[in-house]
Amino acid sequence: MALNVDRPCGTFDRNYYQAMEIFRTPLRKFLMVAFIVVMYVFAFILDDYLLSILIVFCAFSVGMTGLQIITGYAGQISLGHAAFMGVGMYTVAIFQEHLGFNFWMALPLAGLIPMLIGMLFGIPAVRIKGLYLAFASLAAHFVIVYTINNWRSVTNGTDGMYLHRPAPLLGIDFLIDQYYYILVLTVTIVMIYFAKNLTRTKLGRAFVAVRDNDIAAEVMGINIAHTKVLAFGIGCFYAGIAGAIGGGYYEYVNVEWFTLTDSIWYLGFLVVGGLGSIFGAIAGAVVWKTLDELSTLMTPLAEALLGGMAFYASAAFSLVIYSLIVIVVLVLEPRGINHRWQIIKRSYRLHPFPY
Amino acid sequence: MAVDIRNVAKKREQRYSYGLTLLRESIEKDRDLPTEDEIFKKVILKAEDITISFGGLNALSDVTLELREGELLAIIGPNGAGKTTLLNVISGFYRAQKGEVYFQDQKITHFSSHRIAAMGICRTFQNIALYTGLSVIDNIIAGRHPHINYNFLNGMLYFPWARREEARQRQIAEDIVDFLEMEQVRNTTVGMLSYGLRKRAELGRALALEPRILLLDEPMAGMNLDEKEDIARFIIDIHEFLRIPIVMIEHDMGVVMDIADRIVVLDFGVKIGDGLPEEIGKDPKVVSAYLGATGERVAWKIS
Ligand SMILES: Nc1ncnc2c1ncn2[C@@H]1O[C@H](COP(=O)(O)OP(=O)(O)OP(=O)(O)O)[C@@H](O)[C@H]1O
Ligand SMILES: [Mg+2]
Repeated sequence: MALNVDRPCGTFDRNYYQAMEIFRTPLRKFLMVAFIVVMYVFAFILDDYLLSILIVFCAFSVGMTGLQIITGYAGQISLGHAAFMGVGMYTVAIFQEHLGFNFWMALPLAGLIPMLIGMLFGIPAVRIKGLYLAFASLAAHFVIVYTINNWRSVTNGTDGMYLHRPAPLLGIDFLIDQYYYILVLTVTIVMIYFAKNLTRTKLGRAFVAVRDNDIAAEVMGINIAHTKVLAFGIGCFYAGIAGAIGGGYYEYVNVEWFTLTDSIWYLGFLVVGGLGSIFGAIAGAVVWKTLDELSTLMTPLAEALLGGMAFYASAAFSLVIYSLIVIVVLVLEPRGINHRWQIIKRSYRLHPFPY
Repeated sequence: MAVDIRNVAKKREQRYSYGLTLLRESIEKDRDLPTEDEIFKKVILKAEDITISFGGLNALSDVTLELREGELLAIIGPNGAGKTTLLNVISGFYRAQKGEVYFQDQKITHFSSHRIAAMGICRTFQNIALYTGLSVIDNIIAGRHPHINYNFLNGMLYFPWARREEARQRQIAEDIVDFLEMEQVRNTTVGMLSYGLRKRAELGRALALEPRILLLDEPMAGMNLDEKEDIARFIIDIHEFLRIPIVMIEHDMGVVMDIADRIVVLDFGVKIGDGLPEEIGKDPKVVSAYLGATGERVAWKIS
């Protein structure tokens, strides 16, 4: 049996509250606080380009956390996750444009409306599983994209819509990217903290129970229909919030941003990051968007080398690289970056004895 | 080697701590444990004329089963006799084509499984069905699900009362871990445990549900002697200390004869025997159906 090293030696729980902590050692608590502080300090030392990358990291970490809840925790597949992000963006835009909501009022709705739609499309999951469910979830993607494209009076069709960042608050002008970044970072931290709480409490355990053995879960008193639908709902809530904070950055949204391919990469990089952990979701999002950025950086190079072909070349390049990364990770570390990270932590704790 | 009930008794005496006190407190908050004069008298579960077939195969034909308060009922029968199917019907996992199931005089035939479980009909599975990705303690806390009193929003926001409730649930779960002597492996993912320990964890999860009655499907199958004795000990403890009526499917005749209050015999989906262990051991029909060619030898051992 494997040695139990889920924490450094010498760390014992003296009461049940300690056993339930997220960070069980002072060192880990300190590192986490330091990390968060550094992330905030970045707002004042990085240029707008680097901040734009961090904002994208944040938004997609939130979105990926939502997919982690659906897929990694509750074990359900969704091929419509990018579309739900779009619903979040459009919710903000529509409520701002037609009903005069401000950003703060629209933000919760940007979570709740995708949540309701997600629960609706999560209903098939009560009856079907796996590949069949994947096909059923495709319906969500097409229905959402079709609706946005054709409900022109509300959504402007393919022209896209404008979003507005929040008005200045206490002298903080969110039109300045560094302050908007602080807003995005704060929302991200709060959302991830909530997700972490979710996974260590009642519903989170029910999700894992349904994932690991849904028949047993039902016979053990867990209403699996309820649980699955709620997993889709909460996951899509996250997607919507991710969309809202991302869309707020661009101050514009277009239906063409949410393709089926994006939804598939969502799943692919979730696997790269590691299923079943919040850390894995963040790692997956960061790897994905880093590659995105790299492939954009490659475009001038490709143009120099290939001239007019560059556009196609860089599109193909990113697809090939993405696929390669996913395949390599699946082969080398099927349990994703998170698992590798756990192994590294473990060997640090066990040092100098390898076993 | 057969389980020696004297060993089991000795080990029970040697225990210094029992655990389960917190679980018992929690149970007693909801209901009274059965009184002395209800025991063996009041019928708590009744499956009446259950008939179910798969394709052309009659898995159960007109089987009636009664469980009384405080009883430890064993179901025996050859492979494919329909024992597991009967438990599946009771726990709402299979729908009987004919017949009704009553629990405390309430008809539960068409209740969904999770509702039946939340009412207190809890079980273990013949093929272990734990939540493989969770640790032992988390499996047991997951079993507490219907008894946790906060909704998911309180959990997400981790309000103080949710935190307190979590701690209370963890305490009860730890109490069960202590009782099952699994302290060493409490944080180990169940997928990495030995077969015997996984069966034990499953028993723990069923206990966590605060069973009103407990259905055990071959709790000792595939175990070595030591592990069997441990499980027998736990079953007797649960039965005595929490006064939970138990239905146990078991192939080990020695154990069944020693610990069961009553035995029901199934054969090809038909109930062919129902009575005290000593009656069943002598019943020629049962001996020939269940014990087969070696029947004589075993019958001799029983008497
Ligand atoms: N879901 C099902 N579909 C088809 N046949 C089934 C199903 N469940 C049970 N059966 C059949 O019903 C009969 C009774 O099965 P059951 O599992 O109840 O036997 P059992 O008495 O528990 O046997 P064992 O001692 O091997 O566990 C068997 O012939 C089995 O093949
Ligand atoms: Mg069976």
